[in-house]
Amino acid sequence: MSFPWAQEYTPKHPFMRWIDQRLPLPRLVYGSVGGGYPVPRNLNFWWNYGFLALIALGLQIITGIVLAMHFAPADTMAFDSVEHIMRDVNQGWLLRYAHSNGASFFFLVTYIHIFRGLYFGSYKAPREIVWHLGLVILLLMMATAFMGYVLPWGQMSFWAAKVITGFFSAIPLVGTAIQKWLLGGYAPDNPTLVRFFSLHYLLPFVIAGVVVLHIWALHIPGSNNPTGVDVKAPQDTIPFHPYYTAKDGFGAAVFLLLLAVMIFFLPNSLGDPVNYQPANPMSTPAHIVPEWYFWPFYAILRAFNTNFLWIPAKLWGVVAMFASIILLFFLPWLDKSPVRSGHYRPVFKWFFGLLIVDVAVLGYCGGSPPTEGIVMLSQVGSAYYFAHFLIILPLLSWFETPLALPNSISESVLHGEKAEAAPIGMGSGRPSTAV
Amino acid sequence: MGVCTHLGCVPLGAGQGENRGPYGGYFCPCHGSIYDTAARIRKGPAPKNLEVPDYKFNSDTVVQIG
Repeated sequence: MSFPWAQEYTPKHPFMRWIDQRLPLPRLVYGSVGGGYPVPRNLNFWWNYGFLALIALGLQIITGIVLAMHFAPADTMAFDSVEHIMRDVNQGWLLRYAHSNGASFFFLVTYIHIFRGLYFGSYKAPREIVWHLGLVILLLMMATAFMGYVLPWGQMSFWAAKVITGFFSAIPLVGTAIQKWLLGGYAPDNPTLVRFFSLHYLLPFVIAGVVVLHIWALHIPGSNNPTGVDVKAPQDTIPFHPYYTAKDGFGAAVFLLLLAVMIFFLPNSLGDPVNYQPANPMSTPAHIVPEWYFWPFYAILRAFNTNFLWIPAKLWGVVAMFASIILLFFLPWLDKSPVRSGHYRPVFKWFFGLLIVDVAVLGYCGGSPPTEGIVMLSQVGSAYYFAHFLIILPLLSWFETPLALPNSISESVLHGEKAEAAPIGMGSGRPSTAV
Repeated sequence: MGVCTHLGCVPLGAGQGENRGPYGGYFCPCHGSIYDTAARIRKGPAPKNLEVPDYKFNSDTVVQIG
């Protein structure tokens, strides 16, 4: 793996040599996150978010396992057992708030991670499969988050289960049968809750497995970098440890600090208070919305309100919502520009900014009640979202004139002696012999 | 029946003071489907009218549903 100048693992202690000959696990660690993995030297803080997502996954699994010890997956007991966790279980409130806010933070860092990839062209050759595995993780995360949200069996839980399994009823001919099969009945009920609990426990480990593949695929070409220029020589890289373990460690501290602020001071600010009402199959809450991380997709779903081309609006909405993610699998071939980094693409940069605004607008629409104005705004937003990937990016790769790329990563970070950083009070007037 | 033909929520409009939508019938709060007083779909993503179950009048005051 990786570059030919990667440091080889050479255990000094006889015991470590003994281990290395039998189970070379320390060798694997050294070569993938240790001194034996050379990484581009110019990664900025946008490259922290993959590691942060991994931390979030770990936190979800640990808090989740303990929560499962106190949770009762049965329709008559689930809601009360969640309250039991909040009131009676020692530190139960902490576990549950860490788990619910942890889910939000997991999505937050994952979305930033994805937008990082979009801006710096990390999906382009030779990292297409890294990108695809990442999208698979996103889809698994969405399924997991949804099923987890159903477990407290509150009003939002119940209606989320109803509406989201209802997506499948839009499929012609077999749709209703599929929905019935997923729910284990005609409406969300005890069988639904129990199977969602089972899958909610399983899927995070599937995610962890795909994360291993994601990192494995990443470590073949190595990380992309802010210039998008390939690594060419040893001076373009530094070892992962200690440099990026330290940088990721710093990011992790900030991440955990912000998560702690949410858990201890604003634990319910991201959740919907209606989910503290027990599930009632006879009454839909007046304003049902998913959690914030699904709002843009929810807006796309609701944007289709008229039948079009003999296809019912219901099917359009569901197809468009799934297509908004499936579309991203084709991104490496839609954006044919040979320049990876948005830094060197003056026009792309603007459209990337517009895409962020567009997704934010869709998010706002998805979180608001479906009034006429909001639905119209969602339609414009959805149209632009698809236009960005299907029209604008392919055209840009033809018409845009990119800026000149640096010859190498090291050339882009070394600006000559005058411009280099120097200790405070020293100026930068070191002898001009170097470089 | 109070089950929206879009994704299965319970439309508002049966209870006092609920939002009935612009046609004075039923309004589904999930994705904004609007039904009229006869439960016909008028606007929004729902593909069909609200389902009306089989019924018959056994006498002037007794309706048998199903």
